[in-house]
Amino acid sequence: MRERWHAIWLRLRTLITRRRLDRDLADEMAFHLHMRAEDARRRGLAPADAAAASRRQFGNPTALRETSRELWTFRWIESFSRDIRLGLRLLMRQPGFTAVAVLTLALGIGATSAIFSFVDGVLLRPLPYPEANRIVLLWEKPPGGLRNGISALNFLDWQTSSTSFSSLTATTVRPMTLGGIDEPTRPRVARVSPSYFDTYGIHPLFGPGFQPDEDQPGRDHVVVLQHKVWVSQFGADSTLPGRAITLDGEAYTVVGVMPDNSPFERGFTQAWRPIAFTPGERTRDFHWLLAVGRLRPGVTIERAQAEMTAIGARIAQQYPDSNKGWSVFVEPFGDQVVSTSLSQGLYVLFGAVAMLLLIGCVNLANLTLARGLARAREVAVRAALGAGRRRLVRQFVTENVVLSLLGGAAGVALGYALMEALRQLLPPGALPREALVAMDGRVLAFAFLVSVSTGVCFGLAPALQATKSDLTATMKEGARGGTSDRGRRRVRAALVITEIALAFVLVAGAGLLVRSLTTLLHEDPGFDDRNVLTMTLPHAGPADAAHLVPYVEDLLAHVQAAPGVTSAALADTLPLQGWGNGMPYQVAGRAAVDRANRQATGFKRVSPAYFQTLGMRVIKGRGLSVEDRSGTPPVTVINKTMAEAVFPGQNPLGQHLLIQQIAPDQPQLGPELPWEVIGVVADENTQGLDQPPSGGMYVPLAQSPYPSLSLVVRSAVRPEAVETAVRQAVHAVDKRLAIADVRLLADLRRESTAQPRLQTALLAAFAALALTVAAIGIYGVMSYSVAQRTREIGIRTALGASGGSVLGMVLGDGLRLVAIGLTLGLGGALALARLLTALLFGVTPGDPEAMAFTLAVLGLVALAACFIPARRAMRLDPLAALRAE
Amino acid sequence: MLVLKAVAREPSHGYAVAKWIEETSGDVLRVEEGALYPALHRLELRGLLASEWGTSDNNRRAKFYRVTPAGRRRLAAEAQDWRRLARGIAQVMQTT
Repeated sequence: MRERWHAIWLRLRTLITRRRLDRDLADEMAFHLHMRAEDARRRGLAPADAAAASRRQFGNPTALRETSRELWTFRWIESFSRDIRLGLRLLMRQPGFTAVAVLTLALGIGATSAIFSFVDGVLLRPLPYPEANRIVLLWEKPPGGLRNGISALNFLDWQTSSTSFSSLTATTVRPMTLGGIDEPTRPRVARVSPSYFDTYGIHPLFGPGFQPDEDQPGRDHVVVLQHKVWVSQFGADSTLPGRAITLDGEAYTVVGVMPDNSPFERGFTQAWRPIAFTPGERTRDFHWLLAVGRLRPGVTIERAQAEMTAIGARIAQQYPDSNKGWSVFVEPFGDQVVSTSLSQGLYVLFGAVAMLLLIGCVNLANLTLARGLARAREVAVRAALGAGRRRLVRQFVTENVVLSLLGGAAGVALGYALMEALRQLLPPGALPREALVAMDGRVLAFAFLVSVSTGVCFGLAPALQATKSDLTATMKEGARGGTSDRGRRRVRAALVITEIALAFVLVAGAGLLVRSLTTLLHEDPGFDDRNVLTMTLPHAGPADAAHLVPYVEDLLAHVQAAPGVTSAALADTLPLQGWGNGMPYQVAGRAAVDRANRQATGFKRVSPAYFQTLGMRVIKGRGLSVEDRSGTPPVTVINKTMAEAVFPGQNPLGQHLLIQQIAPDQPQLGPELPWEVIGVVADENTQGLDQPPSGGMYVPLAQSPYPSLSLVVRSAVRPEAVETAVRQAVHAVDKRLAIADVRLLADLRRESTAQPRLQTALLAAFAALALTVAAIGIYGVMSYSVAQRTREIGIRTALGASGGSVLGMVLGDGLRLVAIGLTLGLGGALALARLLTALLFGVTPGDPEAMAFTLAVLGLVALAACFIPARRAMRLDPLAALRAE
Repeated sequence: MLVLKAVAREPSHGYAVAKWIEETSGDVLRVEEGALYPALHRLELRGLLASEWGTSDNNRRAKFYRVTPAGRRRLAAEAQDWRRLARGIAQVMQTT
C-alpha cells in the first residue's frame, strides 16, 4: 500500500520535471549501450560491430523507453492534455464552425447560468441567519383560519409565559418622517421588541443595539439604522452612533448601524426602534403585530407548538370576549420566505432555459455528426494503428468538452450581464430580503458542470457514430458505407424531431403566458384610472376626532376648488393597496356570534366623493353624502361581493351591521355601532388584479375619522398638470402638512402587474431565441442532407425528373420529420402546460388558441427551413451534381 | 528479486547490475538486457530502490541505484519465500 503512494508521489514530482524524464531515460540506456560496446571492443571486436552487438543484446531501446516512460507518468493526464491540445488546434482551423458553436453554447449556458443564479439565490441557498432552522414565526390562529396578526396583550402574555424561546419579538412597520436635514425623507421604520436582532442572530455594528429594558415608554427613543441609510442620509458619519436624530419631530439616539452585507440591507425596512406599548395600545382585540422567535437550544418546534397551543387555550379561557376559539400557530420561518408564485415562476423560467440549452445541444450534435463524417478517414487510420474505440471516443468527447468550456466561458460573461439586467428590472420587494442573487462560486461551479455535461451530451452520440465505421470501407475512397450512413441519417432525423418538439413546448408555454398576461392587463379593476392622481398625507392633522373632521373637510374643499380638479376624495387606503382594515361584524337581527368568532370584512373609510372620483357605480340605494357626519346615524355602503355573501337573495338596504368603533388616536376598540346599509357599490379590486375582489364596506370618514389618509384627485386634463395646484390647495390649509408618494393611479395599476410582465417577457424572449436556434438547426440539417444526396438528385434530374418532383421528394422527407416533431411537441406541451397553472390567469393550460398559434408558427418556420434547401435541390445542375463528389 | 540482491550488495548503475547477474549466475541467466531498466524503474517507483545521478569510473553520466530499508526488508522476505519454494520443489522431486 505504501508502495503505491510512493509511486504516486514520485509520478507527481515527475509531472513537474517532465522534460528531464525523457533525457534521463535516454541517458541511462545510452550509458548501458556505451559500456557494453566498450566491453565488446576490449574483447577485440571492431567498434562498429561492437556497437551493433551491444544494441542487439539490449533490445529495442525505443520500446523500452516507452515502457519506462509510461511507468513514470500518469498516462491519463498525458493523453488528456494531448487530446485537449489537439482539439484546440482543430477548432482554430475551423473558425466558422467554432464561432457558431461557441455562440450557440454561450447563449444556452449564459441564459441557464443567469436564471440559476436566481434559483440558487432565492430558493436553494440556506437562509443567511445563523442556525436559521431555529427561527420560527408565530401567528394567532383564528377559528376557521390559520394565520392572523397578533394583539399586544396576547404577545406580552406569550413572552412571559413561554419557555420554548430564547427570544420572542414583535414587529410592525410604519413610515416616519426623518427631519433635521434639508429634505425630509420618509424612511420605513419598524417597531420591534428589543430582542429582534438576537432572534435573527445578526447584530448591529458601532453600537450596543437595543437593551432589554428599552421596551418601556420613555426609554424607547433609540434607533438602529440600515447601513444604506447611514451612508446616504448621514454620509457614513462615524460620530453618528451615540448622537440623536429627529424622527417625527422627536429625538432618537442612534445606537447602532446594521452591517453592510446583511440581509437587512436588501429589505424594505430602513430603521428599527423598540416597541414600547402605550397604555392605549395594550389591547387584546386589535391584531397589528407579527411575531418571530428563536427556539431555545434543545427545544423542537413541535414542543414549542404544543406549549403555545396550551398558552393560547389558557388565554382563550381567560378572555373569551376577544379570544374564544383562537389558538396559536407556530411554523418555521423558512416556510414563508418565498411565495409560491415566485418559486413557480423561477422553476418555469429555469425549465425554459434548460430547454433552450437542449435545443442548442441538438444543433451542435448535428454539426458534430457532420464533422465526424468528414474525419472518418482519420478515425480509420488511427484505429488501424491500434487506437481502441474507447480511446477514440474519449478523444472526440474531449474535443467537444473543450468547445463547450469555451462556450461556457463566453456564456458566463453573457449570463452575468443578463443577471444584472434582470436585477435592475425587478420591482423592489419582488425578492425576499433573504435572497442573495450573485454570480458566485456556486453558480460558476454550476456553469462549469453544465458546460462539461453539454460537451459530453452533444459529443457522445456523434463520437460513437464516428467510431463505429467499418475500417476497410472507409479507407477506400468514397467513404460511402451503407449501414453507417443509414444510422447517421436516423440519428439526424431524431435530432431534428427533438428540436422541433422542444421548440414547440417552449413557444407554447410563452404563448400561454402572453395570453394570460393580456387577460390580466384587460381585467376590469373596478375603477376608472384615467386622469387620476394619488398622493398620501401621512399626518393629516390633529389626532382627535373633533378637530380632525373639520380639518379634513376643509382640506377637501380647497382641493376640490383647485383649477383643473373635477373631483377629489380622501380614503384611508388607495385602490389596489388592500382594505386598510378588516373588522369583525355581526348582522343585527341574526343569531349572535361571540366577538372572538365573528367573520371579518373589509372596512374602508372614505370621503363621500370617493365613488364618484374613481368612477365606481352605485348599484343599489345611494352613495355616501356630506350629510352623513357625526351626530347622524352611522351609515355604510357595502360592495357587491359582500352583499351577495352576507345577504344572498335579500335586500341589504336597511340592514344593520354591528361593528366596534375605531377611534383615531388609540388601537382600543370602542362600543359597537349599528352601521346601516344604505347602498351597494360595484366591486373595486383591492388585492391585486389577479385576485377576485373581496367583500368589504365603506364608511364616511366623518363618522370614523383617521389621521393618515390618501388623496385621489380626478382632473379634467393631464393629472400631472394638476399636481402643483393640489399641493398649493393643501398647503393653503396647513403648510406643514407632508405630501408623499405622488403617483398616477394608472401607474399604480401597471406596477401591480410588473412581475407577471417581466416573467412573460423573459419567457417570450427565450422562446423566440429557441425558435431561431431550432430554425437554423433544421435548415442546417436539411441543407446537409441535400448536399449528401447531390449525386442522387443529379441522376434523377438527368433521367428526366422534373424540378417539381425533386422539390416534392426533398420537401416530403423534411415535412415528414416536421410532422412527427410537431405531434410530439403538441403532446409534450399539453402535458407540461399543467405545470404553468399557478402562473396563468384566466387561461386554461390546454388553451386551444395558444396551441393553434404555436402549431402555425412552428409549422411555418420549419416549412421555410426545409423549403429553401429543397428549392436549391430543385435548381441543381445535373452535370455539376454528377461531377461533384 | 535478483535485481534487488544485486543492488543490495553495493550501489551500482544498471550496467553493473547486468554484469553482476551474468557473472554470478554463471551465464545461466541471460535476459534481454534492456528489460532490466523497466524493472529497475518499477522498483524505484515502489520505493524499494533509491536513485541518484552521478559520474561513472570513466566519467560518463550514469544513474546509480541503492537499496532502501524497505527494499532490504522486501529482499529478505522474498528470499525466504524462494528458499521455501525451492525446498518444497526439491522435496517433491526427491520422492520417486
